[in-house]
Amino acid sequence: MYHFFNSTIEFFFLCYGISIFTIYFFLVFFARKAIIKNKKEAVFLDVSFIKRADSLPTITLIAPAYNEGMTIVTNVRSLLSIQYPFYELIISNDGSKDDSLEQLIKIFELEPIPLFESAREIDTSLVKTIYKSINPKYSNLTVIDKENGGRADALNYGIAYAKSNLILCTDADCIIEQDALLKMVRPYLEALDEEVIACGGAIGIANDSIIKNGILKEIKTPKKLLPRIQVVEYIRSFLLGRMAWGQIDGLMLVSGAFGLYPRNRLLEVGGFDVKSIGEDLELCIRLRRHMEDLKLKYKVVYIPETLCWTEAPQTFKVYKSQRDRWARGLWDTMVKHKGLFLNKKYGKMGKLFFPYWVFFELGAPIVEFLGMLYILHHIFITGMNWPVAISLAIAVYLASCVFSTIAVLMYCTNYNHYSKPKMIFKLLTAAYVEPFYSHPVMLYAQLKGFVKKIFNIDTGWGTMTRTGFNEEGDNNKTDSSVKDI
Amino acid sequence: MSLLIVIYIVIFSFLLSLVILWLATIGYIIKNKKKEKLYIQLEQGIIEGLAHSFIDDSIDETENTKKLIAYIKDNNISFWDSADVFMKVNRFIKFSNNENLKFIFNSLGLEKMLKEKIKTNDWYVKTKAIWMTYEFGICDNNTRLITPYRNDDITLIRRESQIALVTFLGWKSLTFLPYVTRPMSLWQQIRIIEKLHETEEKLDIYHFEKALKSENEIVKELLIRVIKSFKLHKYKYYVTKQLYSKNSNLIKVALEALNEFAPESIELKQIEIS
Repeated sequence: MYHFFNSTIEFFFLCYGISIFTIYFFLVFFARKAIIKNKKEAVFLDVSFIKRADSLPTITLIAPAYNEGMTIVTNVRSLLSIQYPFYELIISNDGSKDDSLEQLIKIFELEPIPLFESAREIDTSLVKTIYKSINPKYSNLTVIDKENGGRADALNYGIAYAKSNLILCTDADCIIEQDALLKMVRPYLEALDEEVIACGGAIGIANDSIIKNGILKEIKTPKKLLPRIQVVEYIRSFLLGRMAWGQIDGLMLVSGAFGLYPRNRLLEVGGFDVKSIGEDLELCIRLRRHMEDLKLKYKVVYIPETLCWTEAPQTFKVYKSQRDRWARGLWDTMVKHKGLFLNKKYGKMGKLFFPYWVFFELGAPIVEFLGMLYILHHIFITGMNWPVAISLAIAVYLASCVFSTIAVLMYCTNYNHYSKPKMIFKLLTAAYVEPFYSHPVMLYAQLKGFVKKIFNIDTGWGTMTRTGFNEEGDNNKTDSSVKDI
Repeated sequence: MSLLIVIYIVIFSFLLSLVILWLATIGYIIKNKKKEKLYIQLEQGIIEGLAHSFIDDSIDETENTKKLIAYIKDNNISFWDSADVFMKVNRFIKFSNNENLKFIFNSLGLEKMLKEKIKTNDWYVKTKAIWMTYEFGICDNNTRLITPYRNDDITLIRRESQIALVTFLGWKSLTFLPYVTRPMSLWQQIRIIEKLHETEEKLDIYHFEKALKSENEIVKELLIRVIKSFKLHKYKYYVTKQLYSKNSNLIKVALEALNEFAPESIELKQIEIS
């Protein structure tokens, strides 16, 4: 009986491992196909053509801000300089306790305007004042001052207030490439009989890069190992994961830091879920579900080029807090939408994509942890076949190195950001130490997040300590700023 | 074969894959550096040559043009590379309006090559050739060559062919609209309107009214945008008629057009609210 159990458990781990590597192999194949297709199609829709075009959809960029006083003015200036002919910027000040609002009022010559009655489809926290600039130079800037209600709530009021066709959700501390909107709007311009319900762009890590007036001047690989590993992690996740899923219409997540949505669809589903911690994943699944319920053709698109830059956690403390929150957000969303699981009514999303998320995104840390327990059981109780165990560990490690190498090379050969040999070398070495350095910490944080959900321990959003970007010529380089994530 | 041997084989294949990937990277870096350098040289060479043939009055124009042609031929520059540089130049100086540029293009045989590329089976090469043909304004016989692709299965070939026809035939091309059965993207509509604005002909009522007979809702959307863009108040009735459509997008586009015609109209405000 004991032998039977042992064999069953080992067979399960073997099947799980083989499945995950097979899926990754197919993801590489689909990602490559998608990158080539994307590059070819982009030739016929160059940003310079879009820039001078008429009848483009209007876009509102909504950036929630909470205690961003140290960088808010520079960031708003940078966001205002984004190239797009029909563009409005809404800064949603989510009850900041610092002087963010005062700085904005002074620098951008803001004056209060009569309060707007929010669209009825979305409930939001109380809005105190809405400001517009009296300076025509900033006519496309609106600042909403509201009581603190969290990021989702701040975005929701912006969605309700906006009048445009499309809404770009981002964060006030993100650096957005100047031509990002021109590139993000492409899928909407090219859509035929399938409606684009969400479009996401790759997010890059700008730690230690050179930034001037809120514009990224020179990309550098982060000096510290942890953020450098996260560069590889982001490339792998965005390029191999999302690009490939997008190719087979299975993209379920558009990052909250940079996502473009049609406003009418956002209003139909009631905007972001203010109770959710992983509000971006939750929204994307809800939008897909909504379109499936309406029996309308749709797609979620991903742009492989990095168009938005953010600061990655520099310390393990912040990294753990971030991954713990992501894990709780994932758990929440999977539980909330459990009705999708193997539900034929939702087509491929119910039968394939959602189960993948349950088994391999939510399940992977749990299976990994159980695997460790099983190894310990063998070491201390039944005895271990060391040659097999060590060779297996080496094989798994090498497999992870192969996939990371493919991701880094695919990115470096297709996009210019990390094309210098020295940069590629640094990224590859970071990828090879990742399994020993940051992966165990990430696993711990994910499991901690799951445990919190199982035992209903509410720790909110946690705190994120930001050291601030490397602003060229900035004498007031931030000591550190603490904000909710 | 024992389990351990199988694992060793797996390890060996992963190691081999890693080595191949590293070698491929080194090869790519070397190749890319060379290619980049060559392309910059080519771009500089062609643009300098073009600039000389415009600016330098002291030397005979054809002399400079010949030098440029010799430069491209002597350096074995590929068709697409030189065509890409010409496309860049074309954004600022239209080839179709300049005899000197046309001469260079013909001397290099690019026109003939584009025609050949339109006939290929590779969708990307075909689309790029159609696109370049209309951007360079090479009309000769190409209309007949491109027309069969106006309803092609491949979206990009279809899109670029339809834009090409509008570029070459102007308002007359709208007669193909009632026969369009496939969807049309917003970008395609924008480009068609752009190309209609670029034609020197005046509005051709006969062909435009023929297009208005189309039953395809996406074509109706395009025609509303044309009416709006060219401020054709005479056809306001057509836009108003679309307000009774069941297609919400068509209604939205019609409302936007009517709003441009009479932004303060009370009836319009009432429709917008409802």
